[in-house]
Amino acid sequence: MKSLVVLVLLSLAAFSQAEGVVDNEESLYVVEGRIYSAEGENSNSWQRETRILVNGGEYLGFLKQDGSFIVSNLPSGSYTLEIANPNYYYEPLRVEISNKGKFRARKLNHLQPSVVTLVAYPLKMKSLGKIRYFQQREQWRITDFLFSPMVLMMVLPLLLIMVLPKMMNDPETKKEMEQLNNMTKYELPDMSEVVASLFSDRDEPKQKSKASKKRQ
Amino acid sequence: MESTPGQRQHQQSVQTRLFYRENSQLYGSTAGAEIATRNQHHNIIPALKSSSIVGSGKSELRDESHRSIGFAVLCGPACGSRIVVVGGPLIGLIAGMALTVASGPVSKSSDMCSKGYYILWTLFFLQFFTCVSCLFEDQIGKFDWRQRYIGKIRFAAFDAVSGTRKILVATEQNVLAALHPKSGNILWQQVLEKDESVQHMHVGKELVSVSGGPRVHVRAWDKTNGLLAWEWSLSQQQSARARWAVDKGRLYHVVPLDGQLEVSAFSLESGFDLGSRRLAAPWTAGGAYDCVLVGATVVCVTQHSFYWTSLADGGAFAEVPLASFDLTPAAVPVLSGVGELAFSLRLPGKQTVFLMGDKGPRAIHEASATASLLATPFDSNIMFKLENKPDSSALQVSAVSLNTGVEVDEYSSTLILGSKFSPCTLTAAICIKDECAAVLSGDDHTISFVNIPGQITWTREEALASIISTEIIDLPVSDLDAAIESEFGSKQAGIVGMVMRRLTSQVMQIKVLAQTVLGLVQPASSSGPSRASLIRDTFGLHKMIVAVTSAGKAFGIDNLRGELIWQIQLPRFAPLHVGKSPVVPLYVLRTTSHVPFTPLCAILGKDRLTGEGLAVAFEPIKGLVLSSDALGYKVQQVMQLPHPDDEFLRGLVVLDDQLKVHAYPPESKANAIKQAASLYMFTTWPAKGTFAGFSFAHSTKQDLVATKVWELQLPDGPDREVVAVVGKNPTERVNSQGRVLADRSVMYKYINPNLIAIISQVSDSSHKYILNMYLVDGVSGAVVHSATHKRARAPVNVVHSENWLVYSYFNEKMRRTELASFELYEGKSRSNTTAFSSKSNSVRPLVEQQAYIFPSTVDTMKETITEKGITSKHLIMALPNGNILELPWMFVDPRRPTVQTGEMRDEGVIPYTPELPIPPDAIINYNQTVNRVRGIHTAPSGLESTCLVLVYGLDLFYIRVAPSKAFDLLKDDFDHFLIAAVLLGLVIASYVTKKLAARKARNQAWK
Repeated sequence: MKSLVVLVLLSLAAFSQAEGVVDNEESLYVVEGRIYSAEGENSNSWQRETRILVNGGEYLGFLKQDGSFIVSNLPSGSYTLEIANPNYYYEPLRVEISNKGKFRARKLNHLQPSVVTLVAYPLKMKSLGKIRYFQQREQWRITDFLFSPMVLMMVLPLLLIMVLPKMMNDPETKKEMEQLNNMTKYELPDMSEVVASLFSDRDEPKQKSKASKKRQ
Repeated sequence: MESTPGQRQHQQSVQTRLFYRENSQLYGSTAGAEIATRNQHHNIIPALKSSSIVGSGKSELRDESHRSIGFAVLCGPACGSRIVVVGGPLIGLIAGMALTVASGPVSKSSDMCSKGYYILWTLFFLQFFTCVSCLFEDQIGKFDWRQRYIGKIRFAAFDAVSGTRKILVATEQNVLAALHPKSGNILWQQVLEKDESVQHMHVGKELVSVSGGPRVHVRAWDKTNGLLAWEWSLSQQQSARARWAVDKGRLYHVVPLDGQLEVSAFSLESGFDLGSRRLAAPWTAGGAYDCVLVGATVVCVTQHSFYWTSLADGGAFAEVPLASFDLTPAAVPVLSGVGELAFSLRLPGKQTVFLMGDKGPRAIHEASATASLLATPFDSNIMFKLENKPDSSALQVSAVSLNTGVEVDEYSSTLILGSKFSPCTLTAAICIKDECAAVLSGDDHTISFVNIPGQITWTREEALASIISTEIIDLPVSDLDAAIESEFGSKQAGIVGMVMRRLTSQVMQIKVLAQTVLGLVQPASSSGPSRASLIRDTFGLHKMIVAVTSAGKAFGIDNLRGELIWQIQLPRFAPLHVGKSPVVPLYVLRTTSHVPFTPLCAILGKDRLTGEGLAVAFEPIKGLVLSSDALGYKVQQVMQLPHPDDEFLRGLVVLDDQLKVHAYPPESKANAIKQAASLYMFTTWPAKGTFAGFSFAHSTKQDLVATKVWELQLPDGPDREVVAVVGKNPTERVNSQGRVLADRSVMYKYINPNLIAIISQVSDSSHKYILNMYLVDGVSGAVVHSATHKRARAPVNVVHSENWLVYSYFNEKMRRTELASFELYEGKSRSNTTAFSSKSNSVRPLVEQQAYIFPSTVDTMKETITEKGITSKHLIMALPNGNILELPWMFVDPRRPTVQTGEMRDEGVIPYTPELPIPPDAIINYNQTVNRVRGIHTAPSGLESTCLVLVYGLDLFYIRVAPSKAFDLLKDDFDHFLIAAVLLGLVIASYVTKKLAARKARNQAWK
């Protein structure tokens, strides 16, 4: 595959003869090229499975054993050339044949038809890679499992349930908690106390509030 | 154009004509074929321009459903909520979180139009695209199957040299193939040029095929692997009487000219012209002659004499009078080749076999005129004779020795075909060591392999390579359900009878229950395609494909495995033609849901001999022809009645070429007359460019009468051609009546079920080709919208559905295929909230339009269809390289904006990209190439998410697709085990913790 095979131009006899038979018609040309199988492709059926579609199948080309092909009977004009292989992707091309029979091949650019990126002619084409028709199934991994929302939702409450009481048992945190409790206690005076203090003696509410504190 | 549809209702026979003057205005607008920018008013009629919202820049549509893409791709709010219910509160919560995550940035995004965000958004949609129509590798063959066909045999030969005795065939579909002699499987296959045919096949060291015309391809193929060995081409004169022959490394081409025969010789491998000679043949002058090539000898016959000469040395013709063989024909006999050495002369009543020797033809055998004869190659000197016996549906095979002309008894055998009988001809035969085999080609396109003496070992149904119309039909309910149905279905039954029926059905139920419990009955689905397994399944995925072919044969195919369930012969049936393309209208008159009435299908065609209409009614599940009626008129148009009669039969209304109306089956006439007041019909004369609408309102109580209500004449142009007339699928349902805009208002869709898209092509001096598209209301005749593409031409493929239209055409200027997309809206208010009426509707729809570059040509395309129309629509497109692409309609949405605004993003519209992608994972047939697709049929399944797709052409491909993912079905890889394990774990954990908690409480209490 690596050695470049020199492509022999198809004998022009065929054309001249064709021209000879049909006088009035314009001359017909032959596009030729060679396709290289993708690396790792060992089956001998790839040549058969590959077809050259010119203008979406208006003209066809078939591969020989060595991967070379010709597409014949083309009048001068501009053609899209597509390589149809079910397993490997090849880049489509545009081949232009001038009235004088000069060939020019370039990359197919539908978006900007005026942009010309020339490709060598006779064509030599290599696969751009295997076509991936299928999606990869997700593999089962332990991390995926652990970080899946379901597991997270189970684990987090579990943590809350198991760890928080443990923390409460810790004497230092207990102290802290108590301190926090005391802090908060003074911030908000009880509404009932305030209201009660307005309507009763000064001494009674204080005793009551102390009693309530003890209860807590 | 001058009268609105409302006016037309009153003056019923106004003729609408699109004058050329108007059309020049159409031409005057901007080109449709040039599409680099969005929002161009290409092609809008001036009157429409004012009402069009295209390009206003304020068109703010918003679809609620796009919000839920994050987890339930595009399935509408209803099904989104369904998922939440299905998944239970836990998943619901997660989904809710996902939703808020997904919509979070969107709501803030109005002020962040950064480029990065734009790219992200695009990526988001692209990813969604790939996800929707993807397959996993382990799903190969799970939902799909492919069958390969080659077509009717034209030439066949045995490859005697290699060990396998494989059969090499060239078919009328221009396909070369090698078949395995034991199984009939295709060993290799080469699909040649589409609209050409094989003219000659020769099997020598290689398989040489001569195909095409007037430019002929001569190609040689390796017999074992089907690879091209060499090829060359030449131009030749077209002649039906041209003959080809290969002899001793030379290819001969014999063309009759006036009074002469031109013989051209070419070197077989190089194509080098060895010169041509003209042989004087004055007897060809009147055309009353026939020629055949026997080996390298050309043999011709006139009414009086044989003439022959060798192609190689090319001397003058030798002559033998027919009288010397005691033949005095009344007309010119027909010659046909019988192998390499012999030919037969066919006269009315009998045929005579001649062996070609050096001294001229020698008569050796006489056979009946209908017998098919074939001499085996090589030195076996045996000629096989096949006679069709239609009376006993059998084939009689016998052998004749070429040396003696006497029948060899040991090879004679009778092949009984039974109901599958169809006249056959011998196409290839071989004898190796007293073992003989032959390949038969049937008139019904079958290929059969016969061991002689012996029986047919295999048959290929090649008629399936020429399917014209298909329908996917529900299977009937099981016998048990049918019994329950019939209990309530029958009209007259006394109390006693009802009780009896109830009791019997209940006994049956108990019996079945007992059997299933005891495991006596196999589950229905696991057995083969027997009658028992053809029962409707829970999800409605198992159906029957009915396929009608141009070979005069119809098939019933199981959609799950692709097995042929039944086949019926329609010997006199030929398809109708619209233009050049064959059509066979196929209707389901009564579905399978109406037990005890039998389901009924009908096809319309024409009689092969008389050309008059032929209607065949058949039962689609068992494949029984119930009636085959010669209609006695030529069919112009046919339509199915919208409402069924008391017996659930929806009959047909047929318009003949004299514009008289008939009902089919005739019993449904009363039903048709009942509905006549609201019945309209649309028909076209493509050659004349005329379209007309008919009303049946003037029908009397006895007779259906069609009155022409409107007529539309396309302007005469050079080479005007009507390339497509496409209506909507009558079974289609549209769930969402509008599109929700970003500001939460609703843009209502213009859903006109009577809308017909007409596309015509004309040649033009300055633009080469012009394509015109008209959207016509089939009832009122109003032209709702029209568009013009300059420098654009066929091939055109149209998909017309809901409120949108997509078609492909070839842009001559840019030399690429483009898709034009149109969408029609009523506006922000609805004209009629209950039902659409073409007569009362005077709304001019607002039209959105855009074109996209498609990086391949399109062979044919079709939209997906689902039961309730909730699922989003995809386009199924067949590409010439054999791929079937599933393209979401969202990608050809004409509202895709070039400048992405926050509002559009809110709505879920993807930004405009001129070129559409063909991602490989959207190719639903993966690497199973489907050759020469002619049509795609889509049908809904019982699941809203799933659509059944049948692709037919040379090959047959079936798959089911889920455009919005299978949201109502558990995923294929759903982990039942994990769910069960988690649940079990939770249960165990709760028990254990309960125990632990109890112990702890007890310990606490003891403290």
